[in-house]
Amino acid sequence: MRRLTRAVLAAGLAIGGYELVLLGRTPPTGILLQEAFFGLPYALLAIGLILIYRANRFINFAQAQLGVAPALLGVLLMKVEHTNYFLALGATIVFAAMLGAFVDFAVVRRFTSQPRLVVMIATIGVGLLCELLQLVVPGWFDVVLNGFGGHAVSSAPPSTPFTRFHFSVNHVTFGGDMLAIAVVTVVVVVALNLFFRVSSLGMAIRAAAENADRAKLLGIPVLALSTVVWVIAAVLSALASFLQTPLTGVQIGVSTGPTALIYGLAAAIIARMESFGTALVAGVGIGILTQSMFYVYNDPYLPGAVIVPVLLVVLLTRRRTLSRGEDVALASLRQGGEFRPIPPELRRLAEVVWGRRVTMLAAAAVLFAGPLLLSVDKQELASVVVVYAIVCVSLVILTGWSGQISLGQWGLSGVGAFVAGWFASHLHADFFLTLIVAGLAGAVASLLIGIPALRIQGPFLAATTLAFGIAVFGYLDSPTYFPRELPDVVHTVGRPLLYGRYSLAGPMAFYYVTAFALVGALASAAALRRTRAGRVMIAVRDNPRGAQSFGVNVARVRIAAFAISGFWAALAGALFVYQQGALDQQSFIPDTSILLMMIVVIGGVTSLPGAIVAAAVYGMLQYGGLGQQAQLLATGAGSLILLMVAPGGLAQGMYATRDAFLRVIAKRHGLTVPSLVADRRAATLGEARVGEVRAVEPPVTVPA
Amino acid sequence: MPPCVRFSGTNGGGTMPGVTSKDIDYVWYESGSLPPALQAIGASTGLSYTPDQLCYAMTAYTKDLNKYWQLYGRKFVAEDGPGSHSGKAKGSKCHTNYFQGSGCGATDAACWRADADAILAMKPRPAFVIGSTEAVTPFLDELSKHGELVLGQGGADAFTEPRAPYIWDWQMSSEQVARIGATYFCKKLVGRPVSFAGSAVMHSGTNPLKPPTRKIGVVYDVGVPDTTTAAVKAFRQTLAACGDKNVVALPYAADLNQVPTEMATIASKIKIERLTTVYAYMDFISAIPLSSYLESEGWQPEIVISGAAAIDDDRLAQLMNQDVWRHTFGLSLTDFSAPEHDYDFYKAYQVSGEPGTVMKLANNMWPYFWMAGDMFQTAGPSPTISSIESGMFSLPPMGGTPLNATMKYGTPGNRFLGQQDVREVWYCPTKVSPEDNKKGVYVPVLGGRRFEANAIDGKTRVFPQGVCGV
Repeated sequence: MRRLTRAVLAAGLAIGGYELVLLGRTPPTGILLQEAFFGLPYALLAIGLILIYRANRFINFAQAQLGVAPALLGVLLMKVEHTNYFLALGATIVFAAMLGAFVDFAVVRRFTSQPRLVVMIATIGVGLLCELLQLVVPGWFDVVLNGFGGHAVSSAPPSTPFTRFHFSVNHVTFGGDMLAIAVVTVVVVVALNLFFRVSSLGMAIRAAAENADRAKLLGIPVLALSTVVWVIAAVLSALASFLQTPLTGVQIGVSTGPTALIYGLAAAIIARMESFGTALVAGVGIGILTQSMFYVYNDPYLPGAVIVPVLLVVLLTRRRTLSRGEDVALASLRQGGEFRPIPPELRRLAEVVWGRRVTMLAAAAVLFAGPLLLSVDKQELASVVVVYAIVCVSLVILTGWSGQISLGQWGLSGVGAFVAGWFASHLHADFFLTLIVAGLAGAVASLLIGIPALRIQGPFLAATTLAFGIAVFGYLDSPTYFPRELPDVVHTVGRPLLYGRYSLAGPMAFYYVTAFALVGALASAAALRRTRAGRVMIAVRDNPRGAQSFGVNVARVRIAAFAISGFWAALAGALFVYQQGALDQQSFIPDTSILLMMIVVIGGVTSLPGAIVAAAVYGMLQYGGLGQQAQLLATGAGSLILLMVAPGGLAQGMYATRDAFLRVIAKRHGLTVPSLVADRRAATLGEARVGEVRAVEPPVTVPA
Repeated sequence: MPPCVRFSGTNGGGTMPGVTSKDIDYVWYESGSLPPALQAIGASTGLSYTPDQLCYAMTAYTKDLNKYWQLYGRKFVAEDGPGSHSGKAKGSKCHTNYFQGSGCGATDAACWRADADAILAMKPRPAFVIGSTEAVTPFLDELSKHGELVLGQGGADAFTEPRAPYIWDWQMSSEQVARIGATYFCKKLVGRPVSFAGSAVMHSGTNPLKPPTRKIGVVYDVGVPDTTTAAVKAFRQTLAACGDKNVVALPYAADLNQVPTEMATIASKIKIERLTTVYAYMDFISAIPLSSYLESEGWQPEIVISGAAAIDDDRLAQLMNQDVWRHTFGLSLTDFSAPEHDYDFYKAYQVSGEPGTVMKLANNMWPYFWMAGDMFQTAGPSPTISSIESGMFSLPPMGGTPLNATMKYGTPGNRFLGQQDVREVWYCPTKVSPEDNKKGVYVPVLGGRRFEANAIDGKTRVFPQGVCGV
């Protein structure tokens, strides 16, 4: 009864909100039904996301991309080989199932013992490889994208056995292909519900998701179940893509960006990453809301922007306790492997002191002198990479140290860019004042989107921040909506002349400004990490309840992390505007936020040097002259391989090298440092066979 | 044939960057970043080209300029891009210079601006840059901001006018497209009964036996940056002035992930609002799902094409739902329907002596060379940015034949985007196009006669056996 009451209340709230945002101008019934149909693919996407989340406890960023290549295979079978529709559908499902199983075997299983954040980021790499596969599949049919030789395939939609069937509701005609999506979605929801509630396999999957270790002890083949889930998720994604082709036409090489993901993710969030039925209703609801707004307000950017308030309202009005599985998963999502400092026993040794100095000098030389070797355009792009690096520093603070996942950090830079663009072009404000105001604006914006984080974290916050990035791109940085604030050809952003003497117009001059800003961000972050505030941040990340029991105000700590990271992200955005001399709306596409999160995880999410090195590597890949396919391969496969080999990212390799160096020094000085030998002993003992006796390291000797 | 302007004596030497007493250095910018989705369309329509084809076309057209235009003792020299931007080695057989772009993604404005900065840093700095067909606004903005002359992809008067006089294009501005479209509607369509739509539309009036008066909607892309909304506003105001105050605006954002759902909603809106006539002021990629959804709605309105964004290309029209697209007519900016050998881009290539036949997209490329020749011929012996501007503005209108659009520069508010006239075309899905020998062709009226806005009359030209019978 309570459930029913809550459902009625939620429905009432949703309808009231809907009427409120549309100001009572509800579209005709036929349109509403059509919008509901549009929501079905979102529901399918949400169901796939929920499946993976329930089984693995992370968001699968590749969910939309997983099925695109299999669906393309089916469509090309129909168009090039003239294969029967159902056979093509069958081929799509088989290919998708194989792809899902492959992803699980080749990727997910390699990360079973790693933090969920790392696996989640690995799925971004999987998505990039799926996009690459999408460009490869046409080659199997001798269809080439560059137009030389081979078959040419028309992008006109293929006809299906359902195409001829039509029915009308209130002057809106619905085709059989649309109905097919509806039927498949409903069948999928019912089947999955039955599968998880009734079948032993489904129950085993639920059990494994709740507590994998216990499930293993009970004899449940947890790994095999994970494969089943990935197969189902890939098939769902392929079905959604294949069934839409008769409506959308053949789309080869269309990148599936965050705007495609956000509606499905929002539906999954509303369904608490749990209920398939709720996901179906939420997907349909989102379809109705977004397309109604498009229909009524004639604004194509409004549907993307409306998701932020929807998610904020949903998350803030939700009272919720976490299951044990979710709690463990959240802890794993927050988890970031800390890299230990140089042991105190070695810190003052001359080799170590000089080693640190030389390393710092080398890093400074690369940072300040490296770009001198580059051409002018690459020097300009080096500034952009440094700006990205500053945002990465902000992400290390927020995600690495505070455990809050933000997929909208570049959106905060968009806020800073807006403020800087306005202040510099229209108000002609001082350069440094502009940077500070932009940073403060970013801090405030970050606080606003961080408020839900006080209640619910993990994927829920990730979705909200992603939606925020979409809204900033569509609205705040659009000259259509802010023509009097944003720079234009008359009101330009010029690089400043500092103190009337020092021109920052040249590429290197401005590069040095960004480099000093990066040093500032690093210094401030390092200082924060050393203080009590930084230690409390880590404590709250690792064990919020434990920290609370020591009297730590968890909410205040989280809010502070949002504010500090928002400040630096927005300041980076302001620098970006000055560097570009303009505010190009397309520079703030939400994809960049996801990319930056990927960079940070590849760098080693808690490591500042790792993030900087990863940003530099990304810069080289992006602007090093690789073609699009090579970029996808390098970024997608490269990130996966790196995270498989070193889940701690580049920082793991960097610190391992440092530790090897320190061991040599310790040996030369005849010192045995516990923290340095502990890892090796653990590894050695782990390798020892039962019954085998190994020599134990000599007792620790600490110099006076 | 020698240049038609005589010259003897000395030229002014280095009168502007990139100009010496002997050379006019220019840069052909080849972005190398066509997105896969557009590559696929290019492949399916035969509009792609190889580096060798590009190289041969550039060589041929540069030769033609140096031979037939009066350059006052100078000749055009294509500059090679520095370092990794060198375009020399890109063709395997042919060798010419061009600037190889970094393959910037369409949304990577920083990358485009950096490419522009690399051009600006070239020594010698080029006199002008031909921005090819893929250059985006940040690239053009960066070059023009630093006083570089750019030919290509100006797009809108709202973009070129504030950057005067640095960005030029022979193509029609989006505002001019909307203006001519508005005139076409006012003279021929507004206030009259619908005539060329499908049967559901023809019988949708209060009296089913009588076609209803036209009810018009305009579908347009609110791009990034948005240069069309203002033009559509002007279109609707013009139609309001000539008697139709109820034109329905149907904007969309050309995000390929969202276009299908947007087009479905727009198609439904077209039907629910009982729109009989749709002005397709839109790109051809988005028109594909729109035509599919209109067909599934069973609503086949008159579709009036604007001619912009290649929507008037036969090969691209063949990708639309043919049952819907058979009701298409309107304005075409270019003419692909005649055999290739009739066109200047083909002839110019042939006379240069370069091997083989020219690539199809050279139809878009040749006018830039032609324009560059005119710029430096009309500027006189001592070209400067202002003498180029005044020279081009003093040029009498050129073209106006079925195969050559009228080019006119200097019209207030529309000074830097040349094309002024359009053809009227009707789409026939059953007639074979000379472009690809496949069914589907835009048939021109009056043998492809071109009309400027003031020459568009109120006559509706219906073919004796329907458009496909001609």
